[in-house]
Amino acid sequence: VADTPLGRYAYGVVPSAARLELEDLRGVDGAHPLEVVEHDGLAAITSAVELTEYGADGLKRHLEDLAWVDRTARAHDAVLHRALATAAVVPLRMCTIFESEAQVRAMLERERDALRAALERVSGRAEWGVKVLADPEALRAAAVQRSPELARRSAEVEGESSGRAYLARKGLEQSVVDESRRIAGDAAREVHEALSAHAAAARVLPAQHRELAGYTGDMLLNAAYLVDAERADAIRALAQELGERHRDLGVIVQVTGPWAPYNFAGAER
Amino acid sequence: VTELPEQPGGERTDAVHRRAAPLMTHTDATSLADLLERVLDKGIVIAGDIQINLLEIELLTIKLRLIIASVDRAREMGIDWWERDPSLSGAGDLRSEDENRQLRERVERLERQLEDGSRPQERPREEGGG
Repeated sequence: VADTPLGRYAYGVVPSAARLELEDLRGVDGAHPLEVVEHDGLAAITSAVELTEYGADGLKRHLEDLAWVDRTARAHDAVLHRALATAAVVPLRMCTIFESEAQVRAMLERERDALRAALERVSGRAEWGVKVLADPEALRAAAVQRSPELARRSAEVEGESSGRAYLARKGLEQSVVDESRRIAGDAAREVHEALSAHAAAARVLPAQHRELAGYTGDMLLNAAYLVDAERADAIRALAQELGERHRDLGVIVQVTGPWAPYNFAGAER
Repeated sequence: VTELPEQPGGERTDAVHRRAAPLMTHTDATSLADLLERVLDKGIVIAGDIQINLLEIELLTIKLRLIIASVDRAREMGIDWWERDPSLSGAGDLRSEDENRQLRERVERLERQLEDGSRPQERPREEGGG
């Protein structure tokens, strides 16, 4: 009765010559060990999963459960992160599941050219995430400070309480917002261009959701960079330095990584 | 036979990955947002045998992004970390209005597709002619 059908969860693909160190990790279900399925020079990192939980019905149920998604995403990533330490790795999207080992091999055969090309692109490289956060108050202050015109208008309405001053203040507020957007946009562009110059490839991602990401202020930039292993330190130092340069905007630069090259493995979407 | 790319020397990558306390190590301090935008949104999409169709994953990502609109539901699920941080008020995002509108439109479109009973990888209508 304990016999539940097993499927194969696939995490990512590495060259079959890769020496992986996955022994102490478990699969997304926390139970099954990781197993490599090889075919023609390619190797898929997989683990067995119970199809009652990871079949279409089970997944549909679980994907509604944010705690499950969180846990599974972390486990999926942990495997790829470990693989990245010793190999070029092409990440597959979370919950790529096959009915059998044979089906995994069939996939490796079918996708061989795309996978090889992707491995070649990411070999010796890792993905780094860079986010630039700014304090909206500091942005507005910088807008006024940097613009003589806004500073003048700001001084004019100071302490005034007439109806005319009220309107002037309204107009000023809008100008300050516009100007701070411009400053924010310029800062984000500068950071992105500087970092891109050190990267093999770059992608700008949508700003993250404030609650989900747990940040305050404005996310001016959320980007991913594919960086040669030997340049990783340099690009991180550069990110820091760029943050310093925009200190008066209340800018914080957050660097995360190394990540498996999630943003650079597939075709552009 | 296509030659496989050479792997990075284990030691070299190791050094880069483990040396020098990073600003943010990716396993400790990674936010769920960092993780999901990669694990769920990216990576090579290969159809597995088990079809959770792409639509469901798309809807899920949208749901997560719009979680602000369903704070109660998140709380039910025990996801409440922002409540521990009084500074997370969610005011004044330069892009959020635009992004929210786009996402809302996307959700509506996807909902319509769902109602049509169609999957994104299938054609909603029959091809004309033939």
